[in-house]
Amino acid sequence: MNDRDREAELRYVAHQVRNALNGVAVNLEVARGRAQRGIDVAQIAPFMDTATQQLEAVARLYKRYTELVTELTTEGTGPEAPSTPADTL
Amino acid sequence: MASSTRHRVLVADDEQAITQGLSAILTDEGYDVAICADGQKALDELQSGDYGVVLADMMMPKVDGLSLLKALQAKSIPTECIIITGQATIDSAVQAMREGAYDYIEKPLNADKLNRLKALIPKAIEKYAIGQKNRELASKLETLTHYGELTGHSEEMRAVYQIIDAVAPSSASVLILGESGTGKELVARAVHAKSDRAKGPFFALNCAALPKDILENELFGHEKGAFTGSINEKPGAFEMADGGTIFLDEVAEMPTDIQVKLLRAIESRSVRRLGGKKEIEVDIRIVAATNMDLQKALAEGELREDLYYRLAVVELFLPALRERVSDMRLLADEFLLRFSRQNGKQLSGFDDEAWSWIHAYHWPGNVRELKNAVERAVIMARGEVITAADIMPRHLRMAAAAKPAPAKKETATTPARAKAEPAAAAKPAVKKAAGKSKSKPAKSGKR
Repeated sequence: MNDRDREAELRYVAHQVRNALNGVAVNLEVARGRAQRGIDVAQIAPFMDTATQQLEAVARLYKRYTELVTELTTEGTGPEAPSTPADTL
Repeated sequence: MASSTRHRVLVADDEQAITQGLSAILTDEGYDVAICADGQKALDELQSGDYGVVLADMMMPKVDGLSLLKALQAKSIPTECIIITGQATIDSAVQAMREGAYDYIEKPLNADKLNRLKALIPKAIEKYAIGQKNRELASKLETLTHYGELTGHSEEMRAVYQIIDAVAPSSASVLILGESGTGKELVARAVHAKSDRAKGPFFALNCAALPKDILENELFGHEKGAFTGSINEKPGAFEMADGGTIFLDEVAEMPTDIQVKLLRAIESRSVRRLGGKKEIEVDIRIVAATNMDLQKALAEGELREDLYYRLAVVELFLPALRERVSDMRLLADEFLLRFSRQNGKQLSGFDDEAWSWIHAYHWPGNVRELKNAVERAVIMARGEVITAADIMPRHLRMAAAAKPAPAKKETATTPARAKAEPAAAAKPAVKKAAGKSKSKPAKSGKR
């Protein structure tokens, strides 16, 4: 894999991380709103589950993200290699 | 959600976790929510469904948010689009706004953004509902040939119907402008009938037809013994129209001192009878009409400016019949049917020459003149159809008969001749028929 491919994958992974974090935020908001209104827990749990799954996805993606950044900073020569996750996100 | 009906919202995004979450949030808010995983599916769904709002992610497979928005505009699909966008595509969001998006929400969709979204949707739905109402009205008006007692399907009359629809539910005063015979009282009746006051009285008064003292008495009423011969008390038009609408025809011809009293009554919403001491509160809507040149009437002091502003909260201009040529056939056929029945005649219609003449004549007396002409023609007709000679006014027939027999194509009933005649031989009679209004030169076609 060359630097260009790594950078493309890095952008994709960053996009996926953002999406997953959005999924966490939205599903937590559903759970919060329903909990506030005293809605039955059975109608809250699926959204908590989805938020959890999204967090797990973030963890997986972040692992791949760090791998790519490491490869780019240790092996790569491109000056565009991001130094922090925030730079990419 | 304030509304009792469940409005439909479409969420278009390829991220299942987001669409599920948004769907749950919006369902909790009382909306009927559908989900599409890409832009093309969303477009298909929007074409077949009735969605007030679509939440579209900017980045979607097949058709992205911006392309979806463009397709909605191109296909004139009625819905309000809210774009959901990541920071990286903020320029596209601005572009989306230019393309007609209702608004955009920037990711991440945290609690604040979601609250903003919850606040945006009812506003977007309100805009959609107003647009929907206008579309329904426009489509209804497009095929409408009658509106209350008014007849006409021309663009000019559809515009009049639209104004009546808009103004009727309010309590605003309406001033109807138009030549004599255009149907100003019918418009006033339509405004009343379409308003919340429809169950109340409609009281019409012609201000030009009555001498000053009688007009004042008719408007405001009198107490017993107010003047010689007033043996009983009498309520005026304002009291009689209480809870309804008062129509003041030819208002600009009202004497100026009565205009002052009228203004006072409008402003205070109360009247005092002649010879009376107490103020009587009235709840009325005023619709007034005039065929006078208002600028001239104001400049010459015939109509008080302060009264004009009170009366003309909404001005409604009724076109002359010659300005809505496309309505002539509809009106003439309707009058023919009405008067044939009334007179027990079996008439099948107008011949071609009669139609040519009807369309070419400039009708200074407008619909009223056409109505009278058809009534006379029905009575006078000897055959099964109305001919040009039957419908032509007497003065034009006589003028035509007095001239030497023209070449075949130049008969007295051809459009060219019919236009020419009123300008010469029939001028005084036409002018009289048109009242004080200015009659424009004859036109052979629609404006």
